[in-house]
Amino acid sequence: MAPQHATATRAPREKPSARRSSRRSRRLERYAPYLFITPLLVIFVGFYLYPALVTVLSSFFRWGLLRPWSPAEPERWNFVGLDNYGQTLTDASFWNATLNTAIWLVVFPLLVAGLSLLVSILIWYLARGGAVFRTMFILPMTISLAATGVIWSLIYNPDPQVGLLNAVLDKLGILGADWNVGPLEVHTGAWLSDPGVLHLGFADLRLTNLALVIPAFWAFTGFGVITLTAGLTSVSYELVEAAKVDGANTWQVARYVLIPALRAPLVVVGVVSVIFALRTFDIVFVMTGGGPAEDTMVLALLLWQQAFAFLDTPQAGLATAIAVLLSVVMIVAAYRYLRQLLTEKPG
Amino acid sequence: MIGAVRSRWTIVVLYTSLTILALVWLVPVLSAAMTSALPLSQIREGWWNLSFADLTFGNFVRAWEQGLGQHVVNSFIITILSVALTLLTGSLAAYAFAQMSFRFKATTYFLLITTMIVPVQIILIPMLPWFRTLGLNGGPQEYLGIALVHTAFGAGWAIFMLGAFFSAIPKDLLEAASIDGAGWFGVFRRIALPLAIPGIVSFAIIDFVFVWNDLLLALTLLARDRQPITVGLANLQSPHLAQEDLVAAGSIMAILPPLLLFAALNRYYVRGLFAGATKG
Amino acid sequence: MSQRQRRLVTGIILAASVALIATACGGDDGGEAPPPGEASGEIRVVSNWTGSEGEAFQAVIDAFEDANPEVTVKIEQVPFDQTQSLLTQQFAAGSPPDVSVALPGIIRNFAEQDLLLDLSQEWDDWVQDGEYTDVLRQIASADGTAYAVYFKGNVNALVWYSPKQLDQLGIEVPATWDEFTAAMDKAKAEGVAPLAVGGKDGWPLTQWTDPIILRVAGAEAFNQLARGEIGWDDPRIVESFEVFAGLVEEYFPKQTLATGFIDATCARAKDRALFQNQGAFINLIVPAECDEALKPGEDFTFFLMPKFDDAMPDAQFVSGDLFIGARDTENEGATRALLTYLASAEAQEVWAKRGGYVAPNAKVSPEVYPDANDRKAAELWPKSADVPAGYDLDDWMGGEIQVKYKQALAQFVRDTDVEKFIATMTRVDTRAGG
Repeated sequence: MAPQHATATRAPREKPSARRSSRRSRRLERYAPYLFITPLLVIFVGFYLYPALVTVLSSFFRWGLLRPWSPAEPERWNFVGLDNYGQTLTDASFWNATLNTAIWLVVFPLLVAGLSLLVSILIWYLARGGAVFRTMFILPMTISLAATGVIWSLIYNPDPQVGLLNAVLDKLGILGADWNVGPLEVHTGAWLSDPGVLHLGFADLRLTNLALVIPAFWAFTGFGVITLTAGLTSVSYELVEAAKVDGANTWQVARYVLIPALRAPLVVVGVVSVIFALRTFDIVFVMTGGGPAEDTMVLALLLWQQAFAFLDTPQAGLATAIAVLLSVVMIVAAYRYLRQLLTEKPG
Repeated sequence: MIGAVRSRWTIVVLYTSLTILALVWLVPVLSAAMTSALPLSQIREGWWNLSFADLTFGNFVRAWEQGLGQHVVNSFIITILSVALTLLTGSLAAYAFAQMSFRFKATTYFLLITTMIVPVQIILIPMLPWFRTLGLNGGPQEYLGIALVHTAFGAGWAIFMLGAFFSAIPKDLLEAASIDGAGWFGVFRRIALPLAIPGIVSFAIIDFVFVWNDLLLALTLLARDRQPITVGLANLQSPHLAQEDLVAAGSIMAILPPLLLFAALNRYYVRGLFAGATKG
Repeated sequence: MSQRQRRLVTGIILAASVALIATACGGDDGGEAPPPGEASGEIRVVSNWTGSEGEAFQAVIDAFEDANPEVTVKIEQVPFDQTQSLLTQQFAAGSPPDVSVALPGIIRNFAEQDLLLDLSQEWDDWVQDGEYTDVLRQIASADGTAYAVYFKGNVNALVWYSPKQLDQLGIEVPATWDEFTAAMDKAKAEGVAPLAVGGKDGWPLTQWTDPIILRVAGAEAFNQLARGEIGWDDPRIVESFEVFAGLVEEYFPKQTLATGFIDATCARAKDRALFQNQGAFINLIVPAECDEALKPGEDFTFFLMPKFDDAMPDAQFVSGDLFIGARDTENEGATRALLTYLASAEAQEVWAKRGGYVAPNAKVSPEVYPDANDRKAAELWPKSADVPAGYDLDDWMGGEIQVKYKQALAQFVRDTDVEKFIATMTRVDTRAGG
């Protein structure tokens, strides 16, 4: 993306007028950087930093949205110390949502990284047409998760006359089949209500969560494909030729030449998908609303519900506590990535 | 481009497997498109059994009239306002971070970058009362309110991505212009900005897609008649009715604008993400 | 660009200083309402109805606009399950809808925060004129003050069936609990699904539990539970859920949680299931959403879910939709005018003529109902205070308990574990001090 230099010649033309005001502008220049960053910074402080601070502070108080906690009204403060955190960390619903979020955290990045690795290596091997394939995988990235949820709800429709997935399974004669493999129970058909359970002894993992991970994975894999194909552009064909001369087959080339070159991009894909998975809200909101029961409730949706739907018990304090916990986890998870971004700092 | 594989057999396997994968990848969109173009009775018998005579635009007309039209308009207002605001403030700031030095630069940069990682939930809950305090509620000013939030949350990406494009401009070029008497702002406007146009376009597309697709902020912060298509679509999923026809048409309406933008400016979109990927 | 930018910066700084001042002043922004009495201007009304019901409500609003040509009403439709969060959001944002559909749980919560229009005077007149009873007034009140109007009544525990299908299977309309279960056993033996249940949407499950609690535990225990005077571990309540567990195990379809309300309704309408236990509104939904050819009263009708124990006194399970007005409305005149209109016999007759509706206003004549099903349902509506009734349990409780109750019911349908269910609800509902 080297910039084109053609436009650069236009600048000197304005010289005389510029010179006249040069003394004033030189004094201004000292402040120039601040003038440049101020607009963004004001918005950033007003609509991110300050509200975030209020979130953190208000998590130590008991309050509801109809009587919002305000830093300017100390007479209405109902300080509860760490109670909101204590109550959150002992709440069964919180741990259920944490478990479901954890399923997302493990499965989603693995799926994304796995498929985009496969696709990007296949594309790399192609002589031509690679860009077309890449585009087809990137395409769902432009689709909102709300629309993704709607589209996949159509596919998952339990009626084999309406839902494509069940229509296919019906043709194959395995619609409504029950399989039990050790601790794993699978039922085909009711994908969004009861596709099965993995009994782990200490907890039951509901497979419904997987039915929600898959649309997200579908929408997001394009990011992995872009990132990894970008990473592969650094691999030279000479290196591959050399490996081949040494007797390496296609699989060995992929294993020993391509994958090592992708270590850094894979970290990017991994971290960004972890962030994505932790934030998951849209897909769950649209497809199941966290149900049936609390099978698919995730943290982001739980805190939304607590803040906006549970009026009888003013729980905005609890919701802010979850928001703080979620952010802390995310910062910890992405810390190294953040560090990396900072060392890449421009200028 | 020279392929890395010469064996014909391998090439066939490569193309076949990629083609199958890519087709599978397009099935959901295809499914929504077909569903949106068929009457409900036909949907009930499986869109894959369609007869072409049944294809109709009726679903779109009805979906539009049932209020989705207003939501689409809202989406455009919110998205254009947000992207413009982000570009305006973001390119100025990104330029400063890329080409200037000032106090607290590292700290400010760090704070701004955190918006790429910290979830939006961290500001969501106190935002409504805050809007109310600022007078950003209960009228068209809500559009400005949500655009400001989008700008704040796009700040990290803006200075990160635009910064990458600005720092690619050779310093000598900027200094030469400066010596010729152009002030900082002149240098920025006449030299840096034109050179960074491809980068700015890339970022604008990515930001457009991002803002257009937001559900959570709009759902939480906006009044009903100012909410965008994503929220309208989520509400159409309303459990009370059997209306796959409308829902599918609505999903296509939600998909189409960013998709068309992507189709038209695919190169820029990919380049922007590419830049993000290689820098990161 | 620079000028626009300067203007923007100035704007932001201005906004920020306004914010600071406003914060310092405590954020008082009570709007100046025009004096009541003159109904003009635009108001917003939030409702849940879509499809055929949405059209019926639109007809009511059209009639209001005809009567008040100076007022424009904008309807904002909200999915039922999101009513609570949407209202919270809009009230918290300081731009509440002027008029909104609400359930008793919501009414109490908003009333506590002093956000609703006081409608006591209107209610005084209605009760005096015999349009409404005191029992209904209590449902619309919080702490003795009325804050809502009744617009749409509903009687539940109606078991819908097709007379033809019953004939074909040789089943008589059940009059007792035993006949009820025997009929379902017979259907099962004939290979017909005994029940259609749209459990995916949550609330259809409460359509089952409410009448069962009312029939097994009795109206007194039902109302004590609703008000938090007894806990869920009360033996009468536990017994109700044991009865429910039996029904679920024997007769509920396997796909209960995968089936939406409309799909279940249409499955019954197309004779793919014998019975559907639902409210009076089915009468409008079946012809509108499933098959226009189906005639109310001929092709489908209902019987009241039989008593579990004949010794138990009669008790009707009712629910309904109420409307509230925002205290901070900028147009109190039009808001009150619409609320009063919605409560009037005139408004209710507009929908009553379309069917699937029970008018809560006693002055609505039975003749306006279009068919036998609607008339039969309207007769079940409690007209006097001495008929014991149970108001929809979860709508009454609202808030977190309502959400958790529906979640727990979905779990219950899956595992029919009474002990676990009671434990969950005892943990969630701490009002009884358990």
